[in-house]
Amino acid sequence: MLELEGARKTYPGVRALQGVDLGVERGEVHALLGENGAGKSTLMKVVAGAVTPDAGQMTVGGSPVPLGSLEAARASGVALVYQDLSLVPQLSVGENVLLGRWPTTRWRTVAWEELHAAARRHLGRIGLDVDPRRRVDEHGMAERQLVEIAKALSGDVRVLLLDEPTSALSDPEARRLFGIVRDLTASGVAVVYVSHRLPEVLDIADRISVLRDGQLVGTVRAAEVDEARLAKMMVGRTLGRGAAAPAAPPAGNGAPAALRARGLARPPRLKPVDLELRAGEVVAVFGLVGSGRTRLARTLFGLEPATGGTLEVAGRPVSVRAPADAIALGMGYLGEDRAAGIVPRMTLAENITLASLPRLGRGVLLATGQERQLARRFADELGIRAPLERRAGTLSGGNQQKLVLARWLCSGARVLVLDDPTRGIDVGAKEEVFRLVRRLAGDGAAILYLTSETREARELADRVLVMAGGRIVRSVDPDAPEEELMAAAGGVHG
Amino acid sequence: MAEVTTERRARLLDGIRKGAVRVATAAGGRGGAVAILLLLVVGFFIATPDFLTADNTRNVLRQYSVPAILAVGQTLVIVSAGIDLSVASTAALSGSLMGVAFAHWGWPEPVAVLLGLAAGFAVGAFNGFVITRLKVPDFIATLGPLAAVRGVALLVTDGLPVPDYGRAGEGRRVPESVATLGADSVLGIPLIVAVAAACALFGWFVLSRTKLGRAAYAIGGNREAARVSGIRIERSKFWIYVISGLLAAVAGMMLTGRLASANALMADGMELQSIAAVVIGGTALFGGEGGVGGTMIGILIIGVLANGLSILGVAEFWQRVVNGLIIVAVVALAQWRRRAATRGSGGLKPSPPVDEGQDT
Repeated sequence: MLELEGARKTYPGVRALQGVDLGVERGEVHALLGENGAGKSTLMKVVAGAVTPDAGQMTVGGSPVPLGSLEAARASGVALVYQDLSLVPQLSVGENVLLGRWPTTRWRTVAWEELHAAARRHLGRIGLDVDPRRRVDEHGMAERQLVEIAKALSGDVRVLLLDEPTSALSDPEARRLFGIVRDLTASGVAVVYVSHRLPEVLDIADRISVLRDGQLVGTVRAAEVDEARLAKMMVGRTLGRGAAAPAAPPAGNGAPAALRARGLARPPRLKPVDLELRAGEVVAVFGLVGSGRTRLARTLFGLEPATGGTLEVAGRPVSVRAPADAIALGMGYLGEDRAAGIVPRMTLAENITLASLPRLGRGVLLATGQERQLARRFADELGIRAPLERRAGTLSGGNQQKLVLARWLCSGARVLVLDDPTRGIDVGAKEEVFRLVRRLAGDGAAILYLTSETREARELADRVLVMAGGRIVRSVDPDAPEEELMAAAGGVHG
Repeated sequence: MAEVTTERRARLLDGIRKGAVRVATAAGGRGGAVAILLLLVVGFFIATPDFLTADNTRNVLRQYSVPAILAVGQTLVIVSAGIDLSVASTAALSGSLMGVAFAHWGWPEPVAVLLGLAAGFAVGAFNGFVITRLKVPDFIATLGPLAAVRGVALLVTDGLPVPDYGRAGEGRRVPESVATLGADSVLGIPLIVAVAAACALFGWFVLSRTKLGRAAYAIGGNREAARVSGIRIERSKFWIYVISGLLAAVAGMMLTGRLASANALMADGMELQSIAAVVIGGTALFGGEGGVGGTMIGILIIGVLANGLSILGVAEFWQRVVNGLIIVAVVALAQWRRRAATRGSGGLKPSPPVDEGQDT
């Protein structure tokens, strides 16, 4: 169905693709695996015509397609669902699904009834029940992702490219997506599926192509490989299993909790929540999309100040009205939206020290020498090897997350609120984030780890709190079976 | 510096040509502006012997010192993703108030100068308050004062020049210190140019050596990340507008000194000149990058162009046309260079929209 040969693309200083071949058959799910920077996204964009390669040829269904033209790719039946969503948030779902192809009346005005009917049809095709008249920004990330897929499928699609489609989805939503993907392939559509999540790739894909450093390492049948083999192909070495279970949780030895919330609330999305976090402890908050998990994180950090309840840090009642208050109290925050964490045009050094400005020099002055030293120290500590004068925007996703963590180490944070920190980063980087979280806890930091993946919650945490419907509904032992977590999270949900 | 002889002209010309080639090939947005400035200088140098003389150089620098001071404040504002349309009106108000206080009300000189500064502070603080507390977008929040502040200046002066030499007789004129800084020279260097240079140095210092400057880049570069990192966005923006207002006050008083008179309609249109200088100098209007150095190159481009064209006898109306077009041309060139840099060698080919993703 799709044949790409000898794709080559060089950016200044980066050989993104070094002669990659890709063959995708009709009705198959073809997964693309690779670490950050391996060239997956570039390859996707080449196929979709969004990037002009330096060399290469492509055919779709046997006929040649000129490279570097979005129109030509689309006309040949190639549709790309972007990793970072490409919907217009201010427009309605229906307007987005048919963006650029709105039906018109004979007066050249938009035929709304027709548009909404068509949109409803496309949404229905993937079993999505949302009102096409409502604005996109009234919907959560998961629904937006599905709307995006409906939009991609609204044309005559023969090859569907999905770039990290599950990065914003919770487990049940991801399963729903897999169902949709299987229906599509059954109807003859070829699906190219980019992901970091090995189990999910093994589950959904027929064949898997692995990229490393812009080169194709190999294409294998999913039935013939396991996670370990794939991980080895991706990184070129064998990954150690995650460290053993963390040290025993610190006993409640009379020391006040590092962070304690009583009835913390911001209705309607966050109902009163009680929470206690001790130094050296990793507490996971497991919740599906829409459970109020992100809301809790943002409220604790003062991004959306609480409207009710009390907060204590190290035993002292405190008031957190803005992130600056939280930081002054020794808190740090890493949000689920990676792009919101770094300032891309600032250097790595400037990003690392950004939360430490108040103590970086006297009064209004900035101590630039001291800044360089601090940045160097924490970059080393987190294993960030890129030159500190580089702009942060040039880093891969995993390294951007590390950069934000370095910022909080630099500011001396003792309580870290991490909301889905591994979203959209590859296995290698993920393991590294896990290692870091354990190490920080080992050094005495209190960590609240919010996640929508049961595996992460169970593997990392000393305790797991389950959120649903804006409340903490249960506290679960991390050794409890996965089903118990899901049941608790799904019980109240919806 | 003596008049340049024909032979020295030829040698200079050769040197400049070599330098221009080197600068033009250097990467980066500011390199582009520097190259254009050099091209203009060389062009006018070839076209007329009257251009590159000591007198004319002094003339250009003196004339463009006032907009340069405004552009320093504007750089700070634009780096933090704001815009200040009120700077020229503020300059007029500060100069007028100082003039009226000194010449008509008979206030002591230092107090009159302080009043001028206070006016700049007040307008800046008002802008900052409206933007950060009332949440009015920067453009609108400063568009109001663009008109209103000039109105206040007209009220204060009754629409007449200050002092009114016709009527005042032997009455007081402009404060001595202001007149000296605005109009006198020391060792051949006009003091007003030194004042502008000091303001530029001040702006550079704020942007690169203070916490406020770092906050400005962070706010302009990624507001959300700045907030998450504990930067007090409202407080920072407030002070940035205050600094812009104060620099406008300095500019207005310098202009009063240079003209030996204040009037409510002076510095007309200079807010646009200051914005143009910032943009030509390589600071993106979306904020987060750029600096005072580029802005100073930008103001020099504007000044050299206007001056060269009038020496060549191009009519004032045509100058306006060329002036406007050059702004668009410079920024278009900067965009083209940026695109060429992103796609590596040979950026001349027509190409689809800029692709900056090289990640993954």
